[in-house]
Amino acid sequence: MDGLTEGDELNGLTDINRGEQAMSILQRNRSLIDRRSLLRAGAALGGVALAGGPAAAAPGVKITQFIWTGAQEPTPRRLAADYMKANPNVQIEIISGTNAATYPKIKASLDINPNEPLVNFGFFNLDATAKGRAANVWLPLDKAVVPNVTNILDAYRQPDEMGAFFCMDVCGLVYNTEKIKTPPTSWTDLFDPKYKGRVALFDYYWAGNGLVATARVNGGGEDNIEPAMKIYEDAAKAGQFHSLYTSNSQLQQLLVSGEVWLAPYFRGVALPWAAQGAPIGYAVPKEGQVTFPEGFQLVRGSTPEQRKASQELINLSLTPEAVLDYCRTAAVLPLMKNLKLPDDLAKDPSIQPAALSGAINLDYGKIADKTPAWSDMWNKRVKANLK
Amino acid sequence: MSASTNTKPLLLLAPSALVVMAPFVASLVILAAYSVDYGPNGVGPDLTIWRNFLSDGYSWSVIATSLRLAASVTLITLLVAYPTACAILRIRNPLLSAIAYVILFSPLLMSVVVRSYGWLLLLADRGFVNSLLAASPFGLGPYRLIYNETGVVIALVHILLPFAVLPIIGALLQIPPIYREAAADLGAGPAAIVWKVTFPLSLPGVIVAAEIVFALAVSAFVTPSVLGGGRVLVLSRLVYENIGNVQWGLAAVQALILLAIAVGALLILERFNRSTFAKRAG
Repeated sequence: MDGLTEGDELNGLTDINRGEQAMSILQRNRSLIDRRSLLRAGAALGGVALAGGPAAAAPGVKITQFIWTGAQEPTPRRLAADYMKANPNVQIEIISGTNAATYPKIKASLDINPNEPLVNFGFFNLDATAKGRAANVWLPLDKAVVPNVTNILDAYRQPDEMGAFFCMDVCGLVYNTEKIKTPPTSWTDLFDPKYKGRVALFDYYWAGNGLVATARVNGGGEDNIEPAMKIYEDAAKAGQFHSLYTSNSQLQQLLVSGEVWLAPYFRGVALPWAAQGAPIGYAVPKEGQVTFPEGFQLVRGSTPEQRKASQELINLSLTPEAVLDYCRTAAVLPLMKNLKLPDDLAKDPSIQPAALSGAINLDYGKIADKTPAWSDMWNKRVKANLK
Repeated sequence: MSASTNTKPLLLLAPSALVVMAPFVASLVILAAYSVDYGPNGVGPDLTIWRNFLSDGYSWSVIATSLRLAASVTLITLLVAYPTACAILRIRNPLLSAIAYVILFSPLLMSVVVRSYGWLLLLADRGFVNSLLAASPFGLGPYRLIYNETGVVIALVHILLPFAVLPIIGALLQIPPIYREAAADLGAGPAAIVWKVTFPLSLPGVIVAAEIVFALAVSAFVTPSVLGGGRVLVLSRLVYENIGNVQWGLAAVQALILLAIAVGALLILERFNRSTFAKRAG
């Protein structure tokens, strides 16, 4: 999921200026700082700086793969290791992070040099996909190299093979099972006064904070967000929201501690917490869950050799065994024709035909277009009014 | 003074100036270019992005929050740092002194994210601090210490304390002990010695500490993001959000304004430093 899980990296954006300012002050005023103190500080900071070492170079084809953090990491790492074992001339560097943090860097890298993308391929949601489509960041997959792409359910297949969306998460209502004995049933429960001050929302994350779903339920949608924005604004003024969080870990802490009872969020994030024993449940809203397809994108600017290796690894990742392994570890739902669901997964209420047929499928292209305007409204009408 | 004497320091300074200034100046030029709108046909430039941002009342409220947060963090950090620096200098045992320095610098030895999440656990409604308050004879709390400015200030003071203590220690070390002894001989009590001798002479170190802490606090990003809970609206967060939305122009405008605020504050403090130095010299 997107969020602030790579905070050190994100902090680096501002640390550059901060470091320069601090060091220039220190240099200008070096007479005020005795040598012993500087050595002590230097020794302490040196240890931190030495913690990271340079990466070793290797011959042959080198590709960089972007993966998500957390439960989404183990399967791609294992598959990359398997692929390198079978193809010793290929070196795969994996960088993990979030779409929110990584997509702008990919775009910036292509702006600087169209032939040197930050990553060659990676795992992206439809939100980043829509942004990348508009900015010409992606390349279509070659079916000859990625034959497994034809096994993706037709409804989720990209008409121009721009990406391979082989699984999806669904967003509904996540709640503390000790505080809420009767599971919530509707998106409107987020605004029920009995949960005043006990509802948290993901900051700026429209698919994951219920904003678009609330708009749909109230006669609006991607083209008219106003009904939802008004409801969120009024709720903020009334003190309905406990806080806006920026990472999955924050939500986990808030729910487990009982400070927050209810939040709109993803099944794939909540279920692993529940499986670990946390008092957390996931409920399907009667108006429908928000679908959140996830999969691979090939980044423009890679060399032919890099494209070939990247697509071969994508193809390997789309085998039934790999998809099932990924879906189990990441608690997401497969979108493949050639995959028979295991009994336990097949019985899950959130993936029953009725639940999926009534799901809310968002237009992520429109959302990407409107995000700057919605962010501005969100800042001025929701965040600025939080009690 | 000969020409070679004048040029030698400049030559020695050149490598570090190049390393520090070249990326900085290049970044500024790139930011400035991004902040100017060239229009769909590449004509221009025009300052629409600047005008829109600066004419928006919300922008000014975010700038005000950033300034208020940085100012309060700076003030509180200095109030904690000064006695801390005095106390560290009074430690005569080398082992205890080393331990004190390790404790002082310990916030810098861990990731800002880990540190911020640590504060979340400590300051939560049912966290360690509120549990202590509840267990006190007065049965206090729980108080909302996170997801507001209070939590952000507490966490920033914690991380920025070493940056303030170090220059103050440097300034205190430069005061000859004989000054304090002379004041004592003339009948000044401990409080008067601190207030009329030690503090004024250590003021340059205090100002340097204020400059460093303010510059770091005004551009802090992770701590307000994690501990602010959406209620602490600072400029750095807007910069990050607009980078995420690939709104490079607006992000560049906000980043330049953030930098201008930091530089402006440094110039004011530096001017204050010089004026106090002039008074002392005069």
